[in-house]
Amino acid sequence: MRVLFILGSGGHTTRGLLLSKQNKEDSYFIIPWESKTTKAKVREKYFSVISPRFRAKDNRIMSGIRTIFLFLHSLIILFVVRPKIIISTGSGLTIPSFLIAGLLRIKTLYVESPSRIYRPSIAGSFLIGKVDMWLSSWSELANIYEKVEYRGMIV
Amino acid sequence: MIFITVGTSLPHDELIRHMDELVKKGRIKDKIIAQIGDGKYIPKNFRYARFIKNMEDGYNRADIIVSNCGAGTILENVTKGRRLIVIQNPDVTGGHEWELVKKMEDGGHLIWCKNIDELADCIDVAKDTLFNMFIPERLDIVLTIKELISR
Repeated sequence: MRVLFILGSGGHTTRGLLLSKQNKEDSYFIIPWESKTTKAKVREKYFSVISPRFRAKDNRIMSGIRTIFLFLHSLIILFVVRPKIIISTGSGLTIPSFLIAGLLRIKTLYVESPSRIYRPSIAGSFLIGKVDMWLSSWSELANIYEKVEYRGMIV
Repeated sequence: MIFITVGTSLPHDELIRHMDELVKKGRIKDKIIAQIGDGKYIPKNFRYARFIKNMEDGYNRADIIVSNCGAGTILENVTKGRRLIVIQNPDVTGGHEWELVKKMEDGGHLIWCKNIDELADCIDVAKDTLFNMFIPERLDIVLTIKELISR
């Protein structure tokens, strides 16, 4: 069984990699093309994609074009890898793959950042109710939203 | 030794510059090592590295860790009961990291330095404070995947 992890930069990547180390199935990764640190940590079975927005702010047209490109790129990756599950730790690369996964009957697991105790992130709140499992690192958030579950923290 | 880390996603020049001045003025006399990321400001009065592969080693050797509000750094250190001072990076999106910092501050797991001008005082306080270790429940991904497949 293949599990595809969507990484990002900084903490998103650290948490995704911690989960992949626990995972006993075959792990694959989507990583942002511009993050050298992430690339150095993953080393194999990864696909680099261009993020809709780099950390620096730039114009909306470019970021729109990159979003469309990310949708197409994610679609190709999902077709090639055919994972049973996609897991995201909340990076900006998440939403396209997660929306496509629904069509391909791939299960989706979203794990919110532990920095979110009472309010979900923008990507996170968009995905509540649209994923197969939405996990918070805190029981507080799970008590506020019906479709949010708490099963502990990534450590 | 005071270990300063800004994380890998965003630099925090303000923190490094302020610390550099504190050392220059003699206000801070401890040995300092800093991880400055892609920061533009280069400290003149202590050793630094842009990225450090073995952060764990730095944390273990430090008497006090000064960090920005990155959730990863915070959790990595409060779960080990280390002396941690957190200072907010104004460039981080939305300031949502406050939720975690506040929660950890309430539990006595870290010292939250709200203003960079108070940093030197926070370091003094950290030396005489007992830090409570934070012990979270661990997410078991193997069990979680099993349940997810059966849904």
